[in-house]
Amino acid sequence: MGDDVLLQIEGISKEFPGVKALDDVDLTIRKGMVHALVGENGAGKSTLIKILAGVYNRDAGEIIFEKRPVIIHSPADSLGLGIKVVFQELALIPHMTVAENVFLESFPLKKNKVIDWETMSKKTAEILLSIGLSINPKDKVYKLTVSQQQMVEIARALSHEAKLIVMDEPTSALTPKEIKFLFDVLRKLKTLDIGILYVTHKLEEVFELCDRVTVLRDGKLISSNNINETNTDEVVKDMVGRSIKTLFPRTHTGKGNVVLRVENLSTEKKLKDVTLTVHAGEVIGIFGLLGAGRTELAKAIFGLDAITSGKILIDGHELKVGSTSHSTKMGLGLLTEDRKEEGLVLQMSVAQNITLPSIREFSSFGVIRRKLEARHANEFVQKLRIKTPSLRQKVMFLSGGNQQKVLLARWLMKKLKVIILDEPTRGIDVGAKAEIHRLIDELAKAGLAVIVMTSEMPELLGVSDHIVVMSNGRVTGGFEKNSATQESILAAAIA
Amino acid sequence: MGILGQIKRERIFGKLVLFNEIILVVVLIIISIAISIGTPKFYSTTNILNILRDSSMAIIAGIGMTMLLITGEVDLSIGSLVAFVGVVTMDIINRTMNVGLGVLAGMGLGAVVGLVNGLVRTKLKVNSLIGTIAMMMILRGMVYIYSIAAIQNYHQLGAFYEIGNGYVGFMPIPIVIMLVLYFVFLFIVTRSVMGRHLYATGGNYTAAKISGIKVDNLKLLTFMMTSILASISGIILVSRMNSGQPNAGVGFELSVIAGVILGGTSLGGGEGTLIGTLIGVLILRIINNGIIILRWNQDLQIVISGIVIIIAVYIDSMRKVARAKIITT
Amino acid sequence: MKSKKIIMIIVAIFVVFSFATIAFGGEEKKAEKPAGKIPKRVGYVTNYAMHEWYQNVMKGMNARADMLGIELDIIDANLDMAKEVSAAEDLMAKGVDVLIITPVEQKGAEPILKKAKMEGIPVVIEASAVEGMTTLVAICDYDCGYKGGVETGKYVKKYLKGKARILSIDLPMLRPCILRCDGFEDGIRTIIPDAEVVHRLDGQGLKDHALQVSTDALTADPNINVIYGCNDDSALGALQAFRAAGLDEKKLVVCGTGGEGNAFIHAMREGGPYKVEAAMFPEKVGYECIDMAVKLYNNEEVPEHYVTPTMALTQDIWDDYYSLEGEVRTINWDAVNAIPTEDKCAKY
Repeated sequence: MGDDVLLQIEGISKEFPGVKALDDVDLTIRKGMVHALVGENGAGKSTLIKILAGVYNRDAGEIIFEKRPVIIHSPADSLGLGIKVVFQELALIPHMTVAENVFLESFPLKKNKVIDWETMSKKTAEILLSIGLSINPKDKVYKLTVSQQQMVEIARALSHEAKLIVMDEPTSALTPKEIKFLFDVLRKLKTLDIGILYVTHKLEEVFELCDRVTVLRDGKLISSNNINETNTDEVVKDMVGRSIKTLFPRTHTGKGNVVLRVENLSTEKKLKDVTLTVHAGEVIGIFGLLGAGRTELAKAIFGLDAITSGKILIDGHELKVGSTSHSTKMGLGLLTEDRKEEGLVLQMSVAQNITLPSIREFSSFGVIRRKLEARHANEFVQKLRIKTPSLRQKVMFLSGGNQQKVLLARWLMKKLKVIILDEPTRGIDVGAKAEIHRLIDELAKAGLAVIVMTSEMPELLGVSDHIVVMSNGRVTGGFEKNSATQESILAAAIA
Repeated sequence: MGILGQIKRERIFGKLVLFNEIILVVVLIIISIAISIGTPKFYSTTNILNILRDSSMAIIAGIGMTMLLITGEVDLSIGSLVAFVGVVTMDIINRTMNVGLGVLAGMGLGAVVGLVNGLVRTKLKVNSLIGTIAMMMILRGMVYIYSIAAIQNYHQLGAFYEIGNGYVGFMPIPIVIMLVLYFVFLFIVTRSVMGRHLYATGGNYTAAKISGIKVDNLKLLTFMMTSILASISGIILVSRMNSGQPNAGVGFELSVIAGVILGGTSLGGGEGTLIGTLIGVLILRIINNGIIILRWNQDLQIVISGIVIIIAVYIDSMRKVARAKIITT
Repeated sequence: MKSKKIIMIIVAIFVVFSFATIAFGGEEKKAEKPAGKIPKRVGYVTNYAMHEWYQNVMKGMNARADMLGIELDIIDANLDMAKEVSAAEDLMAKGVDVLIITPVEQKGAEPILKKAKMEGIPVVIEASAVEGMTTLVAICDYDCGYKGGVETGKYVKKYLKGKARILSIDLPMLRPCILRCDGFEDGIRTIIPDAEVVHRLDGQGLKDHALQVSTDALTADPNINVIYGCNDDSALGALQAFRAAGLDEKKLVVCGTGGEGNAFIHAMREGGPYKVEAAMFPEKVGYECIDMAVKLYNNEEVPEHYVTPTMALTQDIWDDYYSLEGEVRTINWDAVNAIPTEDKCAKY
């Protein structure tokens, strides 16, 4: 074993009722290195992290930390060893200050056991400075941006003199600039000999930042390589078990009539004078940084939020403001950004979720005809290749990708004219992503007007016929597919 | 992802869900057997009919409360409403000598109260817990302003007596009313579009809205149904008591909610069944009945009921934790 | 002179007449104006005016105050102790001569007594004792139940073959109710020594709860033939359960307690099994509060607990004491004032 090995995991297994989450997994993390851990949903990544964090206990295998075998029974054990996991949801206390959060597990005490606020503030400022951050330690955490909160978590790790920091999907809520900042900080941590385990879906980040990449699939270790010894395609192949030809199969480019026309739309809080035209069979990709107003636009068009001025016309007919039932009647569909919070009824079944807006078509005199409903729902489950043991399975048990497909099936069933998809592939693994892009293509082929809101550049460029850029609630740029470049798009997004 | 693994997981949890109602039935049977070992009087026709007749009021109100909880709302004013309906119904019958008019007046009052509760929630956006507690206090105050003394039954009309005390064959009328309402609403909740909409609205308000469901109208309607059903309970009660008591129904809302929650309906919305409510209410009533006919200390009624509820809620929350763990692996 | 003599005789007759009127006049025997000065203004803070009992207490108070020409101010504390304290202070500031208080909480009323003492205002306490009080005007709960028990026992002996199987509906949260039920049981045992209390249950003092628990009790023991309620609602609820069970009313006797409202009169009028009412005469309580206020105003010696009368009314005699027209009931002061009272309660 080399001198610089920080953490060695050998033969770790973990089983839950009915499923083996981890099966004989090995992993070696070296000091001062960023080690990427990738895999589809359900591959076992979060189980592994939780074992390291002391949330789960392993069933079999050894953990050797700094050359000594250790037992991690609880989060306290894990922290005590110097392992700090920064979860995606962040574990900060919003109404406490930065300093209080940084020193949460170990407040510095004066001689008489009273909390030493001064030392705490000073030390916090020092740590923040060391990673290049100038936040006021006395600020309350809820006032900070997500990126800054993430930094506070890292500072917290440093205050414990963490030796291994695990980052779990750190960039899903960050702007490109903030991502760059995060990478700089992580590189700085490398120089302190801290080992970093970086768990992500985003392969471009893996190849930009990390030194080594380990792939899990179905709980098993598939491969572990240095970055310069492998490439994206190979990693994807290992993750998915098959090769994926292309992520963005955009086949159809013909345009029909104008279906949706948004004129001078403004809302109280965000949108200012937005005008948009979408044709049947066309895919419009809307890009913007965090806070640009994309989701607000989606909700305003659909009628979920109130409008202060402007019109929305579908096939020339004006939409009633603020009435979602009118919107659905007129053929509008919305797949929200947060599918769990706003899209799926988690306790209902796959079939029930798919048929939710269409249920009247399967009922006579208000009574649901179950067989009819099941037949139609099944049609879409087959068409979209939704992985579920039965139509009656509660949707909460499906993986993220399949849940998204359920939502898509819901709108496909409806025979819409316009569909708005807000971040349709967020948090979804590579395999399912490709399928969803194929479906978007099919939607357009079927004659729908499709609006896709996304913050992922490759997706934007691959999927759209026409690109619209938003910034601060306004439309700041429009590009045709062929004439768009990353730089020009970003420039419009910052304007 | 391992589809086999997924299937295995889901099969087990599919069972656990059905499990919940079976647990309740098992508990009901065990308690019944235990009591009848202690005394043969438990299984007499008289006792069973008494239990069902007495429970009919809570079950009828429980139908409404279950639907309301499924949509994510609650109504704490039904106890005071029961008293007010009783007083008004008795008074109108006294003045008009017409039982039908009295019943209509009582149900009309229920409809109005339900409408107000619904509007307070949907238009004024007041949380239903707070809103209906306020209504509970207002109604209780108003009933005393309407009449401080109990309103006696002046004319002893036969039809009025029959509502709470009469029989159809061997079956007490309150039970008949309860069964009719129960099966009608069972059908609505499990088979109709409206039933589906109830679960969607409670399960995810925004998702339901996006799917074109008129969520606020639905909640309004459900509030009204809850109050109308509670008013029917109040009419049965006033007939059984033979006087309109302004102090009736104290604690009624809590015992109904206890039965509904014991039956598996979630306070958070989106979950619940009428079968569960029926069994939940019956379990609690049987516990109370058993303690008296076994001549145990009456204080045990609350103690044992409380323990049963805690255990049931605990089992339910364990299922939810297990579910949550599965989702995040 | 002849005319002078006639005038003298007329004047003499007139004087004798006047003396006679004064001596024998006034409205009732006990209702003569009490000796001494009459306070101008009396304040009363009640704990819960919405209750029928207190409605009638206040009725009696107002009637007596009118008789004596006292200005009576009443404020309702509505079960709020803080409100009661501030109401008492308001009345004292207004300048009442005597205060009457029905305490919301016994401990909570002590500050009122202290303040009143400072202001030199005497205080009459009604219903439940407060530490440091001068006098309490209240019935004896135990004795009231006892009388009901004795009268019920007599009925059982005469008409129900001398066997008593009792269903007693209590309210164990309140001590006065426990005393009433205990009193009833002791009372009935003086006539029927082997009277059996088959069930003694908590009906929460409410008719619908009494109905529910009685239904279960009567299922277990349908041979119950005596029903006792610690208040009228309890007795009536149990009676409804008895009727709903289809049992034979002719073999039943019901005794209620309190007479706080008209319900018992309706029940008695039916001529059914509701034979005995252990009446507590709320109007008389109010009446005595006023008289006690006058006595305190005159610094007279008063007992620590002034007992107001209770009596077992039956279907034959209740209308000697009360009359009911529509829903308005009038107390017969003559009859009620003639009821003898205890000096002290047998049990507290």
